[in-house]
Amino acid sequence: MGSSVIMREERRKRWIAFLVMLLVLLIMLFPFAWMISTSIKTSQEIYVRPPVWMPKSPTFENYQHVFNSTQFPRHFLNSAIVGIGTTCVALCIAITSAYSLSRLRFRGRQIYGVWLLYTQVLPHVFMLLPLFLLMSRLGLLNSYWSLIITYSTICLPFSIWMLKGYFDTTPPDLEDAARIDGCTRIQAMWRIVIPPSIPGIAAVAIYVFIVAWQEFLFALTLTRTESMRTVTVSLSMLRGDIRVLWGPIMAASVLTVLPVAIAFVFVSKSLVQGLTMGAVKG
Amino acid sequence: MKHRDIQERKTAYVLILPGIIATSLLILYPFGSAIYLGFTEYSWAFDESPRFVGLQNYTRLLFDRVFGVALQNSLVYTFFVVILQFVFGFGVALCVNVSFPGRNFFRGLTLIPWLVPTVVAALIWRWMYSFEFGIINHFLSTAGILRAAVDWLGNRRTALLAVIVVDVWKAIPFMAVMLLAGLQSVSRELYDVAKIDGCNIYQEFRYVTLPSMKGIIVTALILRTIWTLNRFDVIYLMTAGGPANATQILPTYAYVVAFSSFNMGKAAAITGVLMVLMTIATIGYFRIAHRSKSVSL
Repeated sequence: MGSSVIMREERRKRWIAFLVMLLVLLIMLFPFAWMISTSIKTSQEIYVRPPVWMPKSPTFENYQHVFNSTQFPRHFLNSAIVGIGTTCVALCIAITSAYSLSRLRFRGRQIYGVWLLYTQVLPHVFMLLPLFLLMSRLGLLNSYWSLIITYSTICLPFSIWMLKGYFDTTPPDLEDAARIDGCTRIQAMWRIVIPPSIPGIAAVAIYVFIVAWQEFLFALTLTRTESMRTVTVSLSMLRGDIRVLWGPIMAASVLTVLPVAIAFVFVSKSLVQGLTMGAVKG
Repeated sequence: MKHRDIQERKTAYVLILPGIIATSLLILYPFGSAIYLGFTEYSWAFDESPRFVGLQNYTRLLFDRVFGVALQNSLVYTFFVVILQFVFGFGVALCVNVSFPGRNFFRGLTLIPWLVPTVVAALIWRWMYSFEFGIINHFLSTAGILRAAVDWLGNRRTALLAVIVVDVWKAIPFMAVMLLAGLQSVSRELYDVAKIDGCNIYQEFRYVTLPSMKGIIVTALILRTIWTLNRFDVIYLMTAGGPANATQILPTYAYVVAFSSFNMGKAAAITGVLMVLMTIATIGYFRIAHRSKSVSL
């Protein structure tokens, strides 16, 4: 008798959870549906009351506008360059740092670890002004490098901690064996530790790329000319002459989200892979 | 063996050096430099170098009307954004923690707002808030909640509320994920004991769930308070601090002072105040966490 009451309560709980989540999901995702729908409407359908839910005949004219009449493609390319550059730089630094934090004993190791964590909470606005001055003194203002260096540094702490976690799971025995066979530290790292950590490295790479891709404040400040803008800054500056051109803006938004969405699909995959690998080993 | 140890240490330092250089040059240096700039007078477009003026920037801020408004807005904004995302995030985490069909699918989809670039989110919402053709006005008037269309972002009374909604919406997923991790670490046995003792759902939540999650709750609140105090893009993109400074917060004000008035010293002082606020908030949370622990013991 008592157990059936509990069962009923369990079932009711499930239903409530399910319905609440359905509602939450609707609210969370509606803006994106609205973005996509707006991007394929004609301007007659955009500037109208009451709003049109779905365009009668979807059009790509907003996308054409973005490609032909704005500098957005150029900015998209800039962001891709900065994103890939940041990923390479951040990975190189993060892998070596994480490896030595994970494997080698040296003085200052713990202090460095704590310092890395602390940098996570330092406010970006606080660092923005000196960084701007520093970059302009170094002559790096308005260059890809200013953004690549800045973003790499922003991503480092998290990347190092995540990679250290992956490296910690590879048993040191194998590496010691390789060392006895005459491998140097670097060779051992390259041949023994890195290969099994590839899913983790991939996940970190994509995390770094996403951070670089969507950053706005530094991109706004450190790039000064139209041709150096990144996607996010470009988006914020898309305006119409007479009224806000919501069609093209939403089309450009869709294009901006796309790489992040694709990257996330890969991340979730490699994350799952990394987790299951850990489980098999564990 | 000794030789090998030294070799080992050398390798370690070589490997870690790039990381140390990067973080010191781009984090430690700007950090110190920002503190120093706050005590100088420096119009970067005209002056050669900063001139030390002591506390002048800070004392002037005391009489700066916009600064007062921005400070107040920052506090209100941060308070509501953090509280609301905590409440809703907790709700979502509790729901996702119950097993029901399609749960993982839901969990994945709720992450989307967090993943999307803030700029995109801000623009979508600006379009939805649009006075003339916005979908939000349409919804609310069809539902009979509004009699006339509201210019959400252009009205001094509603602008701050409107940007708070956007930031909460964007932040719920992260909060939910963090709290979910906490929920899943609460031991099953505690719940079983509570059941045997005849706790109802509310009591279970109050006496089992909350106390076991204290650590993660405090961490989540600290991180979120710091990030929200620093939040720049949502407000900059949606209202640029307007109308008439109704949504001006410290980061956007610092930005305007630095890059429109070229006054680096004053801007640095504003971010200095921000830094102090963050330190206070962090210490405060630790205090509360500590105190409630000693009470429950």
